[in-house]
Amino acid sequence: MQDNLLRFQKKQKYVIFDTETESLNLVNSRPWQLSWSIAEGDKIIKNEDRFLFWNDLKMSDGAAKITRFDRQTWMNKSEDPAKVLKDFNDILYNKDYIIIGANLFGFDIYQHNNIHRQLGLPSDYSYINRIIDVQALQKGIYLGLKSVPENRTAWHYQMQNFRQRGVKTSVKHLCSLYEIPYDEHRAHDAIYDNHLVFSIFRKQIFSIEV
Amino acid sequence: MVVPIFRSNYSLTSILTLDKASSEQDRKKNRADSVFDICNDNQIKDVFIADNNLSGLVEAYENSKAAGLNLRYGFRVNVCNNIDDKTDQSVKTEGKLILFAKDQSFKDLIKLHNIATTLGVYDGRPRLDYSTIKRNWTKNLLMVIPFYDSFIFNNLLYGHECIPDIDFAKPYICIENNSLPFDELIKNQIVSSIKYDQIESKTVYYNNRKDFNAYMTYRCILNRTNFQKPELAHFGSTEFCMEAIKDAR
Repeated sequence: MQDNLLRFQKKQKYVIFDTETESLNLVNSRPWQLSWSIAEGDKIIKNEDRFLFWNDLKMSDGAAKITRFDRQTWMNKSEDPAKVLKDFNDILYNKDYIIIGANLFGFDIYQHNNIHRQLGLPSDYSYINRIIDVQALQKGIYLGLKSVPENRTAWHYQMQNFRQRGVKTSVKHLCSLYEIPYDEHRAHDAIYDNHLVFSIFRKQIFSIEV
Repeated sequence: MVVPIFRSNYSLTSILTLDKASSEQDRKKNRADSVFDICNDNQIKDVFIADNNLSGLVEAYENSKAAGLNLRYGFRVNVCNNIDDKTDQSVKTEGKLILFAKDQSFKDLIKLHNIATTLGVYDGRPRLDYSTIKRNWTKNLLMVIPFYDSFIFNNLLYGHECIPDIDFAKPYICIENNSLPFDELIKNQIVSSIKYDQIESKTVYYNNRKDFNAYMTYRCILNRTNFQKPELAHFGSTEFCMEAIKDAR
């Protein structure tokens, strides 16, 4: 038995994160919400749900509808993006944490970088080698892999770029696959999404060695 | 020194033109930048252009000559294991190479281009294979492995199975840094496993960072998408410009 597998690590720390943004543009779009949950072993122990203030925030109608953006709530709760970023980066760049999410390589890491760019900070993707993406894991499981290969980041890109008819990896689908209750009305509530993603991850690591 | 490798609008992936160079006073505002103007403004004598077709070759030749610049024109083409294999599976053996004409001798480059765009076409895209390149290789050609979309890139990030046979050409390989999340990954792969001489380079699609929105608009139009949802994979950097090269100097 390999006791270094994550399924056996009761003290392993995780950060699960998600962004809600102005649009799906990877360069110009800014996150108006950044949420992260911290977990240890199989328990989530802390949630942060933060709103970022941009004085010229431009929400497209489509993005507002999908992300359930409410301007009044955002106005009331939003704060200095530099402060939110600092609090988040303290966790993100801490090597003790494994980073969990859904479609992080295709979307959220760019949105995190957009905050850096907006604040005049250099790009820093040095954390990406600690990412585990539940959508990539599911494709690996679908392909019958016993374990995640050693070069995990390259493998994540390969899985992200792998497309096959019938292979579904949306959070909603994965919840149904792993019999995790899914409330349509709370989808895209960032904290709720983080909890779902972590529940999926906890199930997946018993199907694939990582 | 970082070598700019320009892409022109003939590739349909750039907003740079091959228009005649002009003095700064004669340039119209809000017009697309010419590769040759950029070279003159930045004292670049050797102009490397790598396009996906040869449609701009004559214009590039005439206008580089008029501007007193040395043209280094390349054909950026997909290369697979066997051009006779017209199956989806063969796509997994593809990777981009840039074939440059040395010393403005274009005949041999045109010959390979013609093969790629006739016999080699698959799914509307020109292709060559390694044995065809080897058979038609001459001292008038120079092979360069681009940083993105090469066999290394495709094997690493797409899980493809490209096995190139290119030692005969003694190729050079490009190293780029455009602040994309996977740049370091590709660079590490090249440094650890590729023995060819390296060139520090940058693919240039627009002149300044402020031109990025114009560039993205152009790409969205061609992709039939929009700014809110461009659907352009990994389109997450504003560094593919001459300004970034100047800043790094």
